[in-house]
Amino acid sequence: MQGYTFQNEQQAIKARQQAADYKGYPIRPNDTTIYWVNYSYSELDGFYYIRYVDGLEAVLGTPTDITITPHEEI
Amino acid sequence: MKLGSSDISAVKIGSTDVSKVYIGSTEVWSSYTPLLDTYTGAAAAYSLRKLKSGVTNAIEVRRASDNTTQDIGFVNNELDVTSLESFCSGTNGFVTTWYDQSGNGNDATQTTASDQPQIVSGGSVYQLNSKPTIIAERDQNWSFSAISTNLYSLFITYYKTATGNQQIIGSGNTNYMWLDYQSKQYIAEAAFITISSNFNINTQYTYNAIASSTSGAEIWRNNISLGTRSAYSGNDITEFPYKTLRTANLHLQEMIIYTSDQSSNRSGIETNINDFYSIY
Repeated sequence: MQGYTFQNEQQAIKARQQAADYKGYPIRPNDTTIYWVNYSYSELDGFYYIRYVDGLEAVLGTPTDITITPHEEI
Repeated sequence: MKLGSSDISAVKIGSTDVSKVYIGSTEVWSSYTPLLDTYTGAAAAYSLRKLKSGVTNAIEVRRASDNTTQDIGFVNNELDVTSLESFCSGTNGFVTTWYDQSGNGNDATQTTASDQPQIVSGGSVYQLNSKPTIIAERDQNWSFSAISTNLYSLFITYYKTATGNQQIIGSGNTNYMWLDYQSKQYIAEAAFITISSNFNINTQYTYNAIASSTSGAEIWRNNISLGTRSAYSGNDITEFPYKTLRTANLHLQEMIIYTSDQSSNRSGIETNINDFYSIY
């Protein structure tokens, strides 16, 4: 998938906030929607990542191909 | 032709309410009693129809055009599609909150815009079998406060758009349940029932389970038992639909969970759901 990787959670939180600020979230103080995109953690790969959505390159730059290793299914 | 609950509000013989009207042996009208008025005690209940008298809102919707939000309620016990399409005229609408109708206030919310499931596209509400439906793409879901699965009775309608392993409800990063996984149907992490036929894609199902971590579980699809299993180790659930590893879009209309054994009511609840959604 396309996205952005981060070596620690602080970097991911900062990127998430940059994206939210770009969109102006929250629109009103008590809005449910407070982020544009969120980050996840890939346990088996040891990094945080944000999946690319249309328009996100305006904030976080060109996305890269990233591969997430899923947990082994039972 | 069967009349809807909005066509006739009440039928009485003298002062006594009549719940069903037949012409010959054909039922042509029935009154609408919200499901949770009859089958009380749900831990959480999310639906696009009214499930309990007195509930005013079904969902909160964010429209894409300006990101403002509006609560959407009911007309004649069904989602107020007119208000929803008016609010989202010419744009898309996303469900930020699916209100809990159980009375416990455990609303399902999604704070991230790109993860919010969609209900309106270009001003038109998505429909499934002539009823409004929400479409959760693979990375979209809601979260709610943890519900224990040590003892539960769950009722859900769903429809998946792709083959593969589709997780429905889960918790955290690694725990998962309700994994429609090949010939297995999980009722908790590492606890499954072997099923004889998989769920088809692009097909709407009702699906329910009654499970006890100490005495075992049974699951049903379209009111037909898929099997039983013994005791398991339960997890709390916090996400619906679960998104990790999910590859299909899910069409969702209703999910009700009790943290109690509803064996004596299971058939009645299932019938209530199918009477409304006409699934099988």
